[in-house]
Parts: sequence; C-alpha cells; structure tokens
Amino acid sequence: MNMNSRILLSVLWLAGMFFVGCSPSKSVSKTGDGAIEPVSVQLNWYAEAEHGGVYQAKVDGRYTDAGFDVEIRPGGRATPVAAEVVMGRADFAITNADDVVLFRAAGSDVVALMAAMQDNPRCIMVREDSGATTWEGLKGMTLQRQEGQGFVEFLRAKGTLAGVQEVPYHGSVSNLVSDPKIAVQAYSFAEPFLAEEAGANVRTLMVSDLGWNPYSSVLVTRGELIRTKPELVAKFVEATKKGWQKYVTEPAAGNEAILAANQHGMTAGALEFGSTALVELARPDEMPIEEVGKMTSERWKSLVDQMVEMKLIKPDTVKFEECFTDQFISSSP
Amino acid sequence: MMSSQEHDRRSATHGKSLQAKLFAFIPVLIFTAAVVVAWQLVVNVFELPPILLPSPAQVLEAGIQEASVLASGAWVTGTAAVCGFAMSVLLGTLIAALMSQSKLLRLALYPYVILLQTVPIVAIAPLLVIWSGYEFRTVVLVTLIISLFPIINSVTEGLMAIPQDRIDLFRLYGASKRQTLWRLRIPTAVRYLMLGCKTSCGLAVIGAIVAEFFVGNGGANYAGLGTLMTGWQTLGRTAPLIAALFTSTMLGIAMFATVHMLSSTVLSRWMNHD
Amino acid sequence: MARVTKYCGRIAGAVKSTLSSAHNGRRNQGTICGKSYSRICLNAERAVKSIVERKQNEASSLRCDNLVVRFGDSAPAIDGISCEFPAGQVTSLVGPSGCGKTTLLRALAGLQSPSFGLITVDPSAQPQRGEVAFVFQQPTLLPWRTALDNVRLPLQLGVDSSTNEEATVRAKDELRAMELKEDAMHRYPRELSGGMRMRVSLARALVTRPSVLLLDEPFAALDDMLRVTLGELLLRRWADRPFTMVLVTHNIGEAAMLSHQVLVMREGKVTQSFDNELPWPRDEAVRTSAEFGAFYRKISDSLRGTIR
Repeated sequence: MNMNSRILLSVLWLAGMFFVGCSPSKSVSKTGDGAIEPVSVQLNWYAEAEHGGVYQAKVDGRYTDAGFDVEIRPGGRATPVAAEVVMGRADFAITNADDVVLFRAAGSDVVALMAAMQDNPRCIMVREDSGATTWEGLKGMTLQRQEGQGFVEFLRAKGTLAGVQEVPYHGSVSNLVSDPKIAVQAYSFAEPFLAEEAGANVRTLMVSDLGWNPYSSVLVTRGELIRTKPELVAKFVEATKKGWQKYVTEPAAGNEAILAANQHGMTAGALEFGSTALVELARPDEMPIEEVGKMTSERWKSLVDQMVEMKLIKPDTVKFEECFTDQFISSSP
Repeated sequence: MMSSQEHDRRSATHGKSLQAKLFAFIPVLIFTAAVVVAWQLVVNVFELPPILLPSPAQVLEAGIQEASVLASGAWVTGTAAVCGFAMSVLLGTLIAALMSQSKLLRLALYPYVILLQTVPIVAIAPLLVIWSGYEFRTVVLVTLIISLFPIINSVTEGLMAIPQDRIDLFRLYGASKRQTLWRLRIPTAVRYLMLGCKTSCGLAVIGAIVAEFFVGNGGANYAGLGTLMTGWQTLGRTAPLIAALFTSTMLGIAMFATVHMLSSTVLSRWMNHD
Repeated sequence: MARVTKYCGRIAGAVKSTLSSAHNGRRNQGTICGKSYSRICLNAERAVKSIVERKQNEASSLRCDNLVVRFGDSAPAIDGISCEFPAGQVTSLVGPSGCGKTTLLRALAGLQSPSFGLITVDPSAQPQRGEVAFVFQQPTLLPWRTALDNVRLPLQLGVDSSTNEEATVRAKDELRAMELKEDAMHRYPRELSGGMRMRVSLARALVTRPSVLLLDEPFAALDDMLRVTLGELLLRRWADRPFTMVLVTHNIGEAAMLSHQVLVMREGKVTQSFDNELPWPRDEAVRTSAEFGAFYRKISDSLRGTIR
C-alpha cells in the first residue's frame, strides 16, 4: 500500500471514530454484571423536597445496592431536561407529566416511569395582605412565572390571568416578600415555607383546584434506554420507589442531602415543613405505601386531551400511551 | 491656465451600476445555500434529534407557522431596541461632547464610561427591574446601557482626533470654542459616530432581548422575541427557537442597514475624510 | 550662571519691549517667563491713524528680535533669529530639512509661542482676525465642504462683518482669480485634483485680504509645471494688492523667481540674506537669463556652506 492510500485510510478511520464518538448514548458504559454503573439523574429545578425520593434513595444506599453510582444533577431556572435526557448526557430526569407531553410533541422520545406526586403541587402564592383570597383577586397583580409552562397556558386559557401582568420568574421569592402586589408561581410544599421564613405571611391558590392536575415529580428516561437496557431501568425505578417510600415517612436523611445540594436559599426549616406537606400529594386519601409512584392510563389520556383542548399541542401529535410505561413501577414491590 | 494634467479626476462618487450591485449579492446567496445544505447533511448523517438541531426544513416550517407571533415579537423587541439605540446616540454624543471640551471631565468620567462596557448586564437588569418596574422603559433602559459605550468611545475619539493643521486653521482665524466645536469637531466626529452606531445597533437588539429575559414584555400586548425564545426553550421547541434567532438577526441587520444607508446618503459628505 | 544669564536676558527683553511700546505704540508680542501676552500702548492719534491704515489693508512688516523657540530640553528649533520681513515684499526662506523654517513661519503666524524674544508686526493697532493668512503644505480643506464653502470659511468665522451673500461673492472672485472653473467650485475636495485643491487653499488664504501671507512649502507636492504656473498666479495676485509674503520653499528656483529677499537658514539660524536684484516682472525671459543662473548659484552655494 503506498503512502497516499495509507493516509486516506487513516483519515477514513479517524472520521469513522469521530462518527462513533458522536453517537448519542455515551453515559452508560458497557460493563458486565456486578460492576458499578455510573448513572446520572437530571433534576428540573434546584434540589428541593419534590426530588426527595431520589436523594433519600441515594443516602440510604439503595442505588449502591442495585449496583449504581448515581450522580444527581440539580437544575435551575431554565434546565433543558429533555435535551439532557435525549442526548444521553443524563440517563434519567425528574419532571412533570405535562412537560413529558410537551417534550414528546416536540419530537423527543421521553417516557415516564413513575409519578411520585399523584396530585400536582403547582400553586400561585400571594401575600395575605395582598387582599387576594380567590383567583379573581389576582387581577391587577403582577405574576412572576416561567414562560412556556403548561399551567400558565392553562390559567390563561381559563381567563384567570386576565388583567394580571405576567413577568419572568427567576426562582426567588424575595420580590414577593418586599412587594404585596407580586404573585409568584410555587410548589405548595416549598416556596410558601421559604416565604414564611423570610417574614411574609402567604396564602396559596392551588391550580389543581381549577382542574389542572398532571402527575408531578415524574421519573423519566429516553425510550431508547428502555428498549436497550430494561433491567437497568427496572432496578433504578425500584430503588427510586424505595427512596420515595422512605421519604414520605422519615425524610430526615433525605432532607439533609437536599440541603447540601441546594445553593439557592433552601432552609432546613422550610424543608422540614415541606416534606411533611407533600405527603398529602404523594399519598392522597391515604393511598397505601405500596402504590407510591403509580400511574394510570386514564390520567395520562385525560391530560393529553386537556392539552389538545388548550391548544398546547396539536391533535394527534402525541399518543398518550407512548408517554409512559408502567411496566416497571407496577412490578416493583 | 490650468495645465493639461489638471483635468478632472474621475469622481469618487460615481455610483456602481445597478447590475454590479445585484451581482454583489450572488456570492452571499451561494454561500448561504451551501451552509443550508451542510446543515441538512449534518442533521441527516448524525441523526440529530430535533430538540438539539432541527433540520432547515423544520426551522422554516416552524418559522412559517409562528410567522405572526414572530412578526409581533420583532415589532415589540425592535421598538425597544430602536428607542434604546436612539437614546444612546443622543446621550452618548452629549457625554462625548462634554468630555471633549474639558480634560477634567474626561479624567473624571472615563472610568465610568469603561464601567458601562464591563458591567455584567445580568447583574444590572434585576436591579433595574426593582427600580423601574416591569415596564417598557426598563427594557429601553437596559438597551440604552448596553449600547452606550461604543457611541461615547467613538464620538469622543472623533471629536479629538483632528488633524493639527485644521485646528491651526481655525486658530488663525480666531474661531471661538463654540465655532470650532460646531464647524470642525462635530463634522469630523460624524464619521466616527457612524462607526460607533454600526456597533451599537447590533448591541441594542441583543440588549432588548436580554432585557426581556428579565423584564418580560414590559406591558406590551405581545410577547417580544426574548420572551418567545425563553418560552420555546422551556418547551423544548428548538425549531421555532432557531426561527426566533434568525428573526432577531434580521432585526439587527435591518438596523445596521438603516445606519449604513443613512451614512452613505444623507451623511455622505461627512463620511469621507480623505 | 547660565540660568542667571537667561533670566537677565528675559528681563532685558521685557524692559525693552515696555520701553519701545511706550515710545512707539507698536503692537508687541513678547514673552516673560515663557508666557505670551499682548500689550497695546497707544495714544489716541495713533489709534485713529492705524484704524484708517488698517481699513486700506495696508501690508504690515514683520520683524523678529532674538527669537528663540525651544521644544522641551532639546536643542532649540530657532536659535536666536533677528531679521526683517519688509512690508509689501516677498521674502523666501530656504534651507535644508529640519533647519526650522516651518517653526519660524508658525511663530510668525502666532501658532507657536516663542520661548524668548519678540515678534513685531507693524503698523500698530489690535490685530484683526485674518490679518495674517497661512497656507499649509497640505491644502487642509474641510472634506465636507465644497470648494466654495471652504473659501467662505474664514468669512463665516467672522473675520469681518460680511453677510452671507457678500461672502459668497468674494469667495467666487478669489476662486476665479485662482482660475478655478465655476463647476469645480461646487465640488468636494476629494473630487478635485491636487493642483485644484491648492488653488482653493490659496483662494481661502486670500479671501480675507490679509496684510501678511505665510506659505509653508505650498507647492511641494505638485509637479514642476504646476509649481511654475501657480507661482506666477500667486505673484500676479500679489501685484494687484501687495501684501507681505513669506514663502518657505525647498526649491531654489522658486525662491529666486518669486521673492525680493532670500533668507538662507541652517540649524535654527539665518546664515545669510540676499537681496534679489532680478528684474520685474519675473517672466520666462528672467528665468532663462544669466543673472538668474548666477543668483541661483549664489543661493545654492550658501546652502552648501560656501560663502561668496
């Protein structure tokens, strides 16, 4: 083989390696049974009580028992959860059910595995002295919210936000503490406690009261991982479920881990109150602890239908049955 | 009598023929086509998911779909950008004029001028929101701050970088400081101002969009490009996000083209300094 | 010791200027301790007379007494020059590069303050703007003004109280005198050739009817034919209304053809001065004459350092 051919071959080989290297699934290495597998979980917000189960599972050693070395990545104001999962930079993520539908509508193959919060914690938080006791009272106030969120569209479609000035939300309750005309998007078991600790008396208006109730704290992964590594997914779901079961009964250790991971102003007090308050949402009507994380087709179907009606997604772009799989959660103890 | 060597020089303002001007567009179009083709290839070969990089066709489709929203967004953002830019030209020229007249002022103000350049807008914007509220004027204010530095810089230089001969000329004829400012310094500075404007107008668009990240729509009835981009990013809809990106680029280009046109027509005689 | 001498010299100069101004009522431009000042000492009669004289745009004579110009601590650019530029006459300054001719010219124009010594302008009275005109080496036209507007500039700066229409008329007259065509008057400098720009520059210098015209190598960037043409043109304008002219030039032939007096400079000093006895008018015949050649040689020898 002459010099030119060799060069050509080397270039082609290098190009080939480049192609291989660029292929999506990188993070889960191909190790055999018994070896520790690195796994990453992307959170959709700063580490808070809504991610409690994951932190609890890690602290309790559930993941290590299952052979995983789990990295929990906190998110923030604008975490591209879908991109992380789809591109393989994260194996799992925590998000909301309506986000799953939106991601799928945008062409990302994201699938829900379990739903720790049966009822949605989304609420609008206002100060007691703002004078707003009902949804009508929001008129004339300024609402800090994340543009593009499903619940915002829902409230807009219902006309609840008529006369409300919508402005960006940057993840801090400080504006509300200083200004009574500010309303803030919140999770019922998080921000209100933070605001109280900062000295403001607040009241919450639950969006679920108006009929918006997607699953929350949903564990998701990409479809490709389910197809190629179902055992890994099964073990992970099982470990996470155990984490949640522990967190809704004895959250102390999990809260400690959350506090350590949250650089965004979370306090131990707020976490303590919060983790107690979320039990109501995780196990509504005293749902048995074995059923933590369960999902039903009916709820997924009605969510997709509702989002089509709200014009959040175009009809026939998302099949509700593809949004989730309960094969793992229903077979877990 | 004038010597034969002194016949008229070919005028530098002979316009290029229309044909030549049109032909100048062809290389750009070819290059753009090549870029689009390469883009499509990358998406196909690497099988990139649409959330990461949609194909050109998907972006085009999203752009058409969201055309009215993008148009109103461009209008909202563009209005803020133009207002902020115009204010930065006025204020910047004024500050530069003051600084050119007094060495004391120059020494006192210049560090603050540099501060304008270096202060991170991400830190300033929330402060401005607190002081000025979720209003259109806050968006304009942020835009103003971002666009100001190139104007001050270039106009100050223009007001001061005058050939010594011309200054001597004015001295010889006993021109007052005001006359020198009006008839010598300012005409010299026009070219520099235009240079600064070309930089500033692009910054103004960026400023308006970044401001919208913090301020929102500022009371406008429609969402600006910044708000739209935030929303689409949250929703994971990368195709309209890229379409919005192109729209904001076109906005910047439109402003740039306006400045350029202005400088080559109305202001043409102040532009060429020989 | 050197400093004491310097101080004494300065005090002497100041005393001298005080005495002479009290005696003669001349306008002085002198220095004490490096700061320049203008002193006017008139009696009423002289005041009236000089105003009348001024109105007739009479040429002024210029004189230097012990002029020194120093930049920083280096060797002085002008190292003690005492010379006279007679009223209404053309003086050429020739010398090698760096000999200080431009500095001297700028000092005469008032653009450069002397470090020591006096420059005197006669006749008296507060000098009006535009009395001294300067033509730079580059045409120094404002690029955003047409040729006509450039020439109108000194009048617009309020050199005298002419209206806009008068200014336009005067500017056009000067440009025509410089043989610039009507359509060229409305062109911008970048649309004009080098020679045309210099004509505009000359017209601008002359539009204020100055009593002193200083030119710093005005034709250096032009070709020989143009040099001769413009030189003749300038002389013709001078002949119409004689002003005092100081022409700095590299070109010995030009110095010989245009002047009444040639001063040779070297290293900040005037080494020699020649009275120019060539016949007037200075035309082609003169240029090819033997006297011209002899005068030329005299000057160039002086430049080279051989004294005849």
